Amino acid sequence: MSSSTDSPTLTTETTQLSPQPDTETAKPTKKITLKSSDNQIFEVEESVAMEFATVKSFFEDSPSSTDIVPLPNVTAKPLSQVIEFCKEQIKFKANPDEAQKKKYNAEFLTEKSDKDLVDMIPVANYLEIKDLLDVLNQAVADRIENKSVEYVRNFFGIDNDFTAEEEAALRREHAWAYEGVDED
Amino acid sequence: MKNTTTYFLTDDSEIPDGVLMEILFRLPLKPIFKFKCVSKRWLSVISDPSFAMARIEKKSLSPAWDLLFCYMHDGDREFSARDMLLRLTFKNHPDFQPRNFSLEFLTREVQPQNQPIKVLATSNGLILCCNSQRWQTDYYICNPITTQWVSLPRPPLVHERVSIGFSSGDRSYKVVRIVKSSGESAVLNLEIFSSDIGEWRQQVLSCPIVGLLDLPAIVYNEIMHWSVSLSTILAYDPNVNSDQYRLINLPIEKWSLHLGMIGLCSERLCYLRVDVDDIRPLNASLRVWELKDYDSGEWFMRSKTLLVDIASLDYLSISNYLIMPLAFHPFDTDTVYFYARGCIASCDLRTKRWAAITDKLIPGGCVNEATVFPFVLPPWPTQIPQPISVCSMS
Repeated sequence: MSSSTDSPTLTTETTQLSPQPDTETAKPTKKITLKSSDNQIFEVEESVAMEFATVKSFFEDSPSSTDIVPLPNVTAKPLSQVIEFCKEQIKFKANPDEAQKKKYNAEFLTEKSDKDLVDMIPVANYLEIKDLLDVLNQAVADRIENKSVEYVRNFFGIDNDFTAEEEAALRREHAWAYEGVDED
Repeated sequence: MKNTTTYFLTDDSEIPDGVLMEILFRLPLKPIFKFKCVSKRWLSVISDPSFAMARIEKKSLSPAWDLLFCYMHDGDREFSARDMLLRLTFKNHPDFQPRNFSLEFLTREVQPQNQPIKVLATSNGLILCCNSQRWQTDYYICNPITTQWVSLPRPPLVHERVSIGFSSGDRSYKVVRIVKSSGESAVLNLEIFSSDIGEWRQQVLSCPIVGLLDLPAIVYNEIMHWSVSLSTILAYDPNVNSDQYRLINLPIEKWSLHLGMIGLCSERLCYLRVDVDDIRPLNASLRVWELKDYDSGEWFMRSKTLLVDIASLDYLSISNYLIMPLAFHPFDTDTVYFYARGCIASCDLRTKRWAAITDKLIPGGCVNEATVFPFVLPPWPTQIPQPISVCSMS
């Protein structure tokens, strides 16, 4: 199963990266432990976790909580990608550099598969990471704009629930919208 | 098996409607309409009226507009329906990319003899066309963006010349034809088509006007306004079954040689006029009034510009009479359009500069007021309201 092969690398990656300090004094930073729905444990710096509005309010509601934060709607792979994105955003918050940020965001998105993007959207939405949701929505819109209907169904993993007649009628009604579609 | 969420998404069900809408808002109109047939869920999200409203608000979309005109005669060249060019580009507008704009989709269907179709009027993103300019019988209403079109039943009578009014909302539209009675001079015959009832009805007005111009009505507050003489506007409300009408006087101090036109600018009824003066060409002027108080018919002169300030005297002395007002900018009160020296030109009344916006089009001047329309496209394409009785006919 793909989750079992993915997970060890993901966990080590996060723990390896997180202790790297980018400030002059290497103060030990507070860590927060997140648990995905498929029971993967992610230890992230508090500042990163606070990017997730959902997690932030979890701690605001129960400030003394030191427990693991369960994320029942989130699986490991998209969560790890979301964490990766937020870590970078923290750096840009400390040292604002719009050009670099834009470049990073573009690269981050380019190397993701269609499926990665589609899987990250509900995570970004659930964790209420507005900046990420914005760039994801834009990236998805850019990728599907000139594509065919079949391509878009495939992109999102949608089953066509129209009958052939219903679909033909819709295509006739909006024939103008089907001119100039890219090859899939 | 443990009851956990599956590792991979298998469909879009975990993307809430709100987020799906956010993705779709970022697309131009064309793919949005295309993706109506992705699935029933997408169809219902996109078709919900709140989607169009939210998109307009989100993108703070203003209506796109351009001058719409046909040039039938291009020098000596023979023309066919395909050659009828409509300039409509919507430069830099995300939803309406420049493309070869044409009514060919309609001409192909309804004009088998390949005669060009005539554009008569526009309203709410729709165009009223006809098979011919004189002896009009077959009317069509189309949305040039979605290529949707309907044909109207033939009007009860045939006349060589009629004045046209066309007014469309989102739910219904009206087409009005006015004919001057040949017998009694003080009678106007109106033929009114309403999409609500799907048929023409006739109405007689006792109205002492001298002439009717070929210009389509200017629709203001759902009331139709025709220039019926150099000094008078006829106002008629086609939404009430009534023989009531109103004559509105244009602002004229003394009789003079002038060319004028009415139009809409910033949702005001406006009047643009060029006064020429043979003896003192330096006095030739261009003035813009707006109807300040509709009920009292009080006009307010918004600007006066001497033609000599915007063009050389040399130029004026030969072409005074050829500076013909064509159109208002629908949103910018300081921009007006003229036909001059074979070109359509825009004039900025603030900077007193003007610029030709077309090449020399038609030697001899076939462009006139009747063939230039400020065509405003609503941010969401208008669905043509369907006549009820036409739909139910076998």
